[in-house]
Amino acid sequence: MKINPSNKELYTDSGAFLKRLHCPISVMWKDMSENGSNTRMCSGCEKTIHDTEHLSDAELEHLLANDPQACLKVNLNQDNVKIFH
Amino acid sequence: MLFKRLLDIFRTNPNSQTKKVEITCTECGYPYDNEIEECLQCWYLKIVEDEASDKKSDNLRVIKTIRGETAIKAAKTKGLKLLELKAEVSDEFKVKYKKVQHRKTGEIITIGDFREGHGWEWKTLVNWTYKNPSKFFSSYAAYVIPNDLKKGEHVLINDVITNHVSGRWNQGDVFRLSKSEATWTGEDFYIDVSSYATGEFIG
Repeated sequence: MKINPSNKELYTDSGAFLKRLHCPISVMWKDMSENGSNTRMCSGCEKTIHDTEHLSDAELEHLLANDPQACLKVNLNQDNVKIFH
Repeated sequence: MLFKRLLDIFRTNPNSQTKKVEITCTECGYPYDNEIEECLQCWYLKIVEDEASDKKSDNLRVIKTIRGETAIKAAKTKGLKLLELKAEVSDEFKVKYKKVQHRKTGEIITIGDFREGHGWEWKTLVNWTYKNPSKFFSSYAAYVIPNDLKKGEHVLINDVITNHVSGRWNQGDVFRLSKSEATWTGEDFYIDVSSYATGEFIG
């Protein structure tokens, strides 16, 4: 996947738009409780947040096709993320 | 057909796209270059003239930022309450980029990641270069403080004046916080850096 850090738009490596990451609640990943192998529960909204570190582009597309509002966590330093401007 | 091809080549010629040309603003006479869409002096004057003082985003009141002596003088003439701050360049920030062009289509893209591989079909126009995102239109800047802003009110600042690191990347980039939530202390804004930190994105 690829992310533009200035507008937080997430794309697949082939350039397909996935989602614009935006959250008004400002809860940090480290402050969320684990509720699955790659997910955490946000205390601010009680939604499940998916860690994209171990997800392929195809898995992300599938996840967002089923739930376009699915919340994601992306860290700039994870191996499967490239940055573009 | 040949004309169209020549036009395409001209349009995608890196020199024609990156050449700086100075333009004199027809409204205020201020000189600016063709790399920006609008005269910044006029842009900040429009912010001063914008009467809507209670715009909200994510249920937070948005604090307006103005830059440049002209806009600050205009704001004072209007009687607006300002918190004036110096906009300083910090060498701490650096964002890298590389411009490449597709040899067949002429498409030009900007990449920012060393791992972004491009084959022979992409020609390098600008090799890896760092730019400092803390260079501003003017060293004079101010927040417009709403008259009814209460001490402790949480607000949103779309154009932060002071320098804060919003994230560091293990490829060397250090990002500047440009937008942030903040709390009015009665005299200044306490900038909540974590609200828009760029090391980690959730949403």
